[in-house]
Order: sequence, then C-alpha cells, then structure tokens
Amino acid sequence: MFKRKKMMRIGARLDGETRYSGREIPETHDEKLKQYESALLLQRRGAARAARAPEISDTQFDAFMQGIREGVAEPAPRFAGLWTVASVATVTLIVIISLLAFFTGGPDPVRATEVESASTELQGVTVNYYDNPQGVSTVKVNMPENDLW
Amino acid sequence: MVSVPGLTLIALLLGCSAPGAQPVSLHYWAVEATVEGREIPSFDAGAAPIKSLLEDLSYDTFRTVLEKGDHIEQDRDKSVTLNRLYAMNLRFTGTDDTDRARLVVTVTLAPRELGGLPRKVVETTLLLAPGGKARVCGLRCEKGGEIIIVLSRS
Repeated sequence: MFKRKKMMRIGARLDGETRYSGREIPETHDEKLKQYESALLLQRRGAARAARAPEISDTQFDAFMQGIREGVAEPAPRFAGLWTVASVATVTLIVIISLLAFFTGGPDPVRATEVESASTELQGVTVNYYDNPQGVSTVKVNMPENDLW
Repeated sequence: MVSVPGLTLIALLLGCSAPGAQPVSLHYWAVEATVEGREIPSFDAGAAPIKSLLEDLSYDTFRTVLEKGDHIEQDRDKSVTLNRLYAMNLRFTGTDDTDRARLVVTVTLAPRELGGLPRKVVETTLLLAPGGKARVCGLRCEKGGEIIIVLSRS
C-alpha cells in the first residue's frame, strides 16, 4: 500500500502537479520504484513525440503542392455511362415484359361446371338440364308417375 | 435411319411426358326429397352441408340415403346402389384444358322382373370444375318424392 502511494507521488511529481511544487520529494532507492520512474519517463517521451504535428519543410513544399495540383487537375471518375446503360436495360426489360403480357393473352379463363350432355333410354322419360339461380348445374329427369316399377 | 438408343430415348420421353391422370376427388350424396307438409324445410344431418343446393326444390323434407367421399380413377367405373330402385355409375374420363373433370354419371332403374336388365334412366356427362357442384334431380320414388343426387368435386 505504501509502495502504491509512492508510485502515485512519483507520477504526480513527473506530471508537475501543483500540490507537489516547492516540495522536495525524496529520491527513491528502491529498485522497483526506480524502474517504475524510468518506465514513466519513457512513456512521456514517446507520447510527446507522437503528439508532435508533422511539418512540411520548405524543401518539401514544392513537391507537396505539385501533388495537390495533379490531384485537382485529374478528372473525377465518371459513372454517367453506367447509369445510361442501366436505364436503357431497364426500359428494354419493361417493354419486353409488356409485349409478352400483351401478346400471350394472359392466363386461361376459368370455366364453370357445366352439363355437356344428358340422355335417357326409357320410353316416356325426358331429360333436360339447366343452371339454377345459384349457378348449380342441374340435370332434371322427367319421369311418368306409373309404369316404371 | 433411327437407331435403337434413339428409339429408346423417344419411348422414354413419351413415357415421361404422358403421366397417368390423377384421380378425381368427389363427394356425393343421394337425398330422398318428399313433401310432408312442413312449413320450414327439414334437412337431416347428412343433407345439412348441401342445404343451399337443395333449397330451391319444391320439397320440404330431405333425408340422406347415401353420402360418400371417393377418389375416382380415370377410365374406371365406380358403381353405388342408391336405394332399392336406383343405382349410379360414375366414370371419370379425364380433364379438359381448363382442368374440369369430365364425369359420366349413369343412373339405372332396377329391372321390372327378376332376372331382367337394369334400365338406363339417365346418362349425363358433367364437366366439373375444381370445387364445382352438380346435381341430378327427378328420380321418382314409389311413394312420391324423388331421389336427388348431388356431386361435389374437391
């Protein structure tokens, strides 16, 4: 726990925290704490180098501007041709489908139940057929009341 | 000259292109219709599902004498006895170009004398659309009334 506190004080001292300004922090003789301090310093140097913004020197400036000029002068890739081809293909497809639908005449009509034929072999009996008001196909046998059984 | 493999291929193609027709699914009823002086027409339990197909007839009592669901194979006869007097034969002969089943319905009357031949009362060819219904009416019974045959394709 004391070591942890010392490590925090080392970090704060290296960060230049105000509460430690003017205070003398005794140098450590502990080997592990020394290693910790060295590692912290190394990290700080690395962070300072990474944070440094890249600069273009005068000797690099002409080449830098030349690259920009080339980028501006180069025409942007054009996709207008692709859109034209896609539009024409779509229109052609629609026209073909419409023509096929028009000339093939659509699906076969649905046909209702019907009586194709009806006949009898009995003397005195007649047969006719009709659709009743509900559309039910009906075969009607007209039989005399007697002489059948 | 056509080779043997060629002929075999043609035979195979013909065999594949003309599969046997599917049997037709039918439900049929024979209902005895009579006049018994009822104010409200009466339908027994068997006739209730086809009430709408019978209501326009001039009878007030409907009793089911036969009700059956069946698959009729093409070009095979299916004979059923309706009652003591009548028998019905069904023959499915195929479908037309709009999938209507061509069904030959023949109703025969029992012979007058023992050992005689049944008499053909009616032979009708129906074109039954899928879900279509048809009926044969006027098959007179001894005590008045008539037998009504209702055919319904599934």
